Amino acid sequence: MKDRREFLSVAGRIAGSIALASGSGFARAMHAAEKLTAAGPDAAARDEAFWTTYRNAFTPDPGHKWFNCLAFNPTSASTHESFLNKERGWNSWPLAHAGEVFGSKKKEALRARLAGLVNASSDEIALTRNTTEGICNVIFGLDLSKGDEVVITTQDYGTFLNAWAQRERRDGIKVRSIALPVPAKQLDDLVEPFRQAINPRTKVVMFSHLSDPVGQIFPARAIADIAHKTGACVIADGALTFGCMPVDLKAMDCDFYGTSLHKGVFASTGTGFLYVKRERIRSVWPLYGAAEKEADDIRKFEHRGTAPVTAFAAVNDALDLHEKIGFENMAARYRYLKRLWADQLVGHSRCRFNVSLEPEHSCGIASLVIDGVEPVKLYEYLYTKREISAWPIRDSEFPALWVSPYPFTTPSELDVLASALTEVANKGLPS
Amino acid sequence: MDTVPLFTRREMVRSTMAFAAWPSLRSLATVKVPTNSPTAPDDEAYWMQVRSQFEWEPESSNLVTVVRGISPKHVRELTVTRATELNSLEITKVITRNWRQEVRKKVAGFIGSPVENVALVRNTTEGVTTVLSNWPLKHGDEILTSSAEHGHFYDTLAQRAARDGVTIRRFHYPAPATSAQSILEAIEHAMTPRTRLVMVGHIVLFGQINPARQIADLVHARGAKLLVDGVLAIGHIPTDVRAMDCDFYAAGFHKFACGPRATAAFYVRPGLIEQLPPLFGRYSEDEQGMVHLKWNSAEITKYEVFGAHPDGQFLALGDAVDFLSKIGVEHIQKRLFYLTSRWMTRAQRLPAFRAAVRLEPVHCAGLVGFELSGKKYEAVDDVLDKRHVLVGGTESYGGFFGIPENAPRSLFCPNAGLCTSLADVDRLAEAIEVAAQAA
Repeated sequence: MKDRREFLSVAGRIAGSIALASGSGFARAMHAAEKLTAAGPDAAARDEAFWTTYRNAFTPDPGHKWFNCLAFNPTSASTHESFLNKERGWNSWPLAHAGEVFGSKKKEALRARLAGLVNASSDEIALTRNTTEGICNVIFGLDLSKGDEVVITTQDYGTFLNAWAQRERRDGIKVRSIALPVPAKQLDDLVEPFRQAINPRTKVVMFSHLSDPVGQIFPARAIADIAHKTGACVIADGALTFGCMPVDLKAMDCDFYGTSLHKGVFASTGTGFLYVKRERIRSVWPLYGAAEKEADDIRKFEHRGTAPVTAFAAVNDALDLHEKIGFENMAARYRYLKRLWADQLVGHSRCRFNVSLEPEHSCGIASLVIDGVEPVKLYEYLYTKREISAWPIRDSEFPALWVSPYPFTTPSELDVLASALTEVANKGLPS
Repeated sequence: MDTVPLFTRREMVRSTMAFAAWPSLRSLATVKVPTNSPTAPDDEAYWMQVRSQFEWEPESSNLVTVVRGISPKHVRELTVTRATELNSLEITKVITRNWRQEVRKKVAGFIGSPVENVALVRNTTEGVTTVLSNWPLKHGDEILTSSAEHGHFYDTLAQRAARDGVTIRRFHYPAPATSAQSILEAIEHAMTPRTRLVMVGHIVLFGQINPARQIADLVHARGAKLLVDGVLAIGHIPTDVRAMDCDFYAAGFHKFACGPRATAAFYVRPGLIEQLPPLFGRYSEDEQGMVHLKWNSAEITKYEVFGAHPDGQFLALGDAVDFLSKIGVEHIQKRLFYLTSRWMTRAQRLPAFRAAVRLEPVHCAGLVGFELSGKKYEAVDDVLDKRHVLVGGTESYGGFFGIPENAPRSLFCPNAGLCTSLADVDRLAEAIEVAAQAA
């Protein structure tokens, strides 16, 4: 090794050839995805040849059957390789070079890319480590006075329910947590409770764009319109929507939207973004503090100290494949898979769903109730005896089995799931 | 399997999966971690064995691990291995439910804390911000800090002042400090009856070791609490939070401690956890699925709820702690002081050389801030760069050598570390000599 430049170019060539060798599944998926757009979403959803190719970019275990998408999403082999190479390099490259792993140029490029995917502007997108960080910046950062009211729902994520409880205790605000019909028969069933709860003292309205325990898609624009009429701002928890379906933040007209990239777009863990409508940026104190001169700068939400930048450096890899497939096609695939297993149980006298299976109500997630069968025991039975993993919702308001197929889940795997569930519905759990 | 690993949703981690493509990426770094302690700071055979555990570009002298630390190869590989294990659908099959407690125990032991008072957080900023933003204060209460702290924390403090009407005071840090007493006097002079919280670094930006216990005694005698930023001290000098008697302590492991990035210890003294709300809402489910809202509980784990995080970093942290413990941090301190003495003794012969700390074991170890009086910062930087001597620098604000705060200057801050050799510090000394003699 003669000098620094030679060392780096050799290292780069080695890394590149390794990438080509082990990223071939990813490359095939990228190539195959090019044909999806012409076919249209419905055809794309059913193109099992493509989804098999896509599956091979992830190499999931062929034995167990997993239905925990959006709870645990692995990255593709290629994205993971990209992350690992940067992680190793970070520990040996000199300081200046390591800064290029995810320096300001790359950061701004990613910001712009994400903004483009949600119909927002770059100056409205802050890079965060996850949904929790983005949303908690807003929950704790809004100026609220004693007596101000906040409307949330019982379907919101537990961390955020507690964050609001914390503010209620410390700041004397009033938090109204509204229960919603489960399942909602029509979307207006979800809007009316907000209409009833929002009043002139309401300063914040928060809901999940797609709720975690139930899988319900909320009519964001309709809720936002009601909230804005009284001067309240709107926070949408988008953890389970970005990447799973098209998201248009201008159309939604929410003021804040937080999401994770390690869920819907299968990026490395520890990546996400927070959208803040430009005119609202000044109204939020960032969680980790920022200088006064940054009051209107979206980057004020990014002063969080040492962060795993290597995860961010690998995000583009994940986005490349996801964009190539298309968000509409991904949503169609999720909905198609949901119907493949759920339709086998609809109409069963002992089965009911906590969410409508219609496309405007749900995407890939559906939570199932089998009368007389406790969800935790159902989960245990499926996991230990049938090699099926679907998560139990233990919430007392809507206990159920949470089923969320991956885009690469196969129809035969869904048949195995449906068959097992039908058996339990017919005979109960074996003793 | 015999039992069902029923995790709460927040405890879910990703578990092992064999990627057929991975073997070519696995490093074949040989793990030869020293299994004994060194005999002396100049036991070169031993220290070069320690150095061989690291990997960096051979042409450079890396004296900048205080800015961006590197882990020994086996910790790096373990981080990578764990990350791969976690990148799988088979979440529940490999990672044990209690891994976090196991790591917490090691970290607690390393900093002399009861395990129930240490939280694993993502960085120093997270721990420090929890205290600066959330420690209960009333309008008119005061927070005191020094002029030698991490720059971003001044913004955090200013924000607290703007939101809650708290007054922020900053005492001028004596540099170079002639004695512990000079530091204590500066603090005592700046404290008022309204001071409720004092924040200082265990080691400040230019390498001065603070007399932490004496500061704690002074602060407590005045009815205030002490927050210590330990990021420059952990793995550099021995840390014992109980001996220090601080109320809060936060320290990231990625600098002198050679740990994985985005891992830190956050200590809260017994009896104070209930009063200090976390930055994020605490959420837990019991076995019946009941959500418990515990922001004001006495559980230290409430500070560990911050959403999804690449837990591979934490899973490898225990090994980083073991690595340092095997060597012994007290030996590390002596070794780093030995290396510092080697270059600084040469540099001190130069009339232009001015260090912000005195070269004495009570004042410094591996980190020293300096300037070459009369020489432009960029010119000196250029000499260092051309000679591939990588050093860090302080943020530019005053308080050094009596420089007024309205005319701040930056200092160079080279640091010796476990990957530093005698040749590295000799190269630094030579570069300083060349820079000092340049026109």
